[in-house]
Amino acid sequence: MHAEAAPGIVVDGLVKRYRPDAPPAVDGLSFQVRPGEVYGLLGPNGSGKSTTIGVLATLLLPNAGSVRVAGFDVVAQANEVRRRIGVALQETGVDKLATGHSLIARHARLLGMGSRDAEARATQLLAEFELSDAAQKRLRTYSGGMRRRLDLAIALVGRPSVVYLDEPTTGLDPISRQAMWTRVRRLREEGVTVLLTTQYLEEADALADRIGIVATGRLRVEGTADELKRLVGGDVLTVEVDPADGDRAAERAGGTHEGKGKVTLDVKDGGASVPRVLGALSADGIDARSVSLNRPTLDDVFHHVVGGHLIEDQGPAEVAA
Amino acid sequence: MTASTATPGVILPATPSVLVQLGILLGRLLRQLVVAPTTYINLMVSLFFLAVYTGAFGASVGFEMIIGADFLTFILPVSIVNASLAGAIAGQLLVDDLESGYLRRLQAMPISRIVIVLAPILVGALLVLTQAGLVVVLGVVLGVDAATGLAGLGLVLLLSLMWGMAFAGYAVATGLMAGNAAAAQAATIIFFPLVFLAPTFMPRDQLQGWLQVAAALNPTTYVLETMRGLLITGWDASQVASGFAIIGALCLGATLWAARVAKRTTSRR
Repeated sequence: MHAEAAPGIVVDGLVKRYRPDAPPAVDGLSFQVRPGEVYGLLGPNGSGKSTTIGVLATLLLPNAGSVRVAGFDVVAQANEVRRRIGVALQETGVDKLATGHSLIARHARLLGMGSRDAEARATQLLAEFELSDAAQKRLRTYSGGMRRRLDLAIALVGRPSVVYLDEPTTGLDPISRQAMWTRVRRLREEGVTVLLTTQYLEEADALADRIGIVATGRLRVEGTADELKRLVGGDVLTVEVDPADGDRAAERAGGTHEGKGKVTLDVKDGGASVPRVLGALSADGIDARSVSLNRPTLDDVFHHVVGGHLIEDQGPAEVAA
Repeated sequence: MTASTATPGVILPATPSVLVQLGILLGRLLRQLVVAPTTYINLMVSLFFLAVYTGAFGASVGFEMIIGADFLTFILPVSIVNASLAGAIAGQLLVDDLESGYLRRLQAMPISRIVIVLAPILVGALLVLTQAGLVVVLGVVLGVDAATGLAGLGLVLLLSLMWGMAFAGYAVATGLMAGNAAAAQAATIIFFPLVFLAPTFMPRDQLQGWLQVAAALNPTTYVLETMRGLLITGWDASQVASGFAIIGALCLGATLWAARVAKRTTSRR
């Protein structure tokens, strides 16, 4: 089988225990990431995200299950996997006495590039990540944002087909975070498979094609951001009318008068509901002063899932995109 | 925008040979040492000891009669053995990489695990060799006349390299077992009994009974006696062979121990 023609990442029944008598850090986790897809893996601290990335990056051995990356098994073909992945883990370091240029060039040579190609690759990546001015500076002088950009640059040295980004924007200011998002979007444009973990739900919402939420080592839900939001219910439509018309408007629209003319309705599809509700009120001679539509956020999904509601009620991975 | 990454069907470059990997990692560690001021301070330590020992005992004719040799030539191997402390840098370098997380970065790359641990051991040994070389050069400048000539001096340096590798291997193993830089540094305390429970300032037959027993069990004794044989007595094939055999075994044992600990530390669990 040609490696790059295979699915980006296939995780099937992954189990990982750190000690035989300890509960599993990852407990039968299964998911797939398609080639060229950005997949967001979300979960609270201790949910098994980093352990999963550790197995996928060939740093940890699974106790059970199978994991294939770019078509290669992470246990039996670890070196083939390592040749095809780029890894930007949270806790990976650099030697601070090296310069940005020398560090990237060294990694390029370790991946098999000749000296000239390695130098050229380092120059290219530093320019791409706007680090050219700091190319010859020691890494101990780099700011946090520069370090994270350098981390991603190093991960891309070998032109990997699969990239793991473990909380790539943690600790970055909003501008640096936006810049990092742009880089990740470029990876998708280039056809790179990206597995992203993040604490920032809006980051997953903005970047990931699909999202999996894990808790206690198991996949709880999976789908696109919109699919996941629909899991926690519909939209909330709020219409403000003259307070004297509040009760009548609530009855007519099928909502609740919250007081002072504010009427709220739970609706399945907010976009389609707005003209219907406004039409009904207008037919009864009630004028709407303002209308607002609130959609569930990924935050709501996360809290529902991690809070246990969906875990117990619906079981794992019920939204198969 | 320039393409950063692989497109489907891209031809990946061949993984470099183990020797090339070793060269790249050695180059990195050597560059780290070159820019670290402590390297130069360490290099001076053995020269300092040589100067102090010679200043303290070198003028005593009676002392030279007891040891049966020119004091500078007698004490030169002690300064070389002092240089072995520099081999501890191997453990320090590896523990630094472990603590900083750089080791994890290397582990996720398609490179040999043995190379990752061998590189700091070799750097430690090279540092010991450099320091020993400086001591030998200073000794020759000050008047040491090796009984076995240049070839003997070459063997003295070879012995110092092997001794340095042994100490570096020990430093790597204990450093990785301890897992932090402070503990790795503390493990080098073994150096002091190794130096002082040995015929450091007197020939072995001049030591008291218990110290003679301790010295006989101490590998440092064989480093000092083999070097002194080459510098003072002349060619003694059996002494040279036994000295190299003992230190060679120690070097091999320490390196294998380091490799075993490193394999456990760097392997997937």
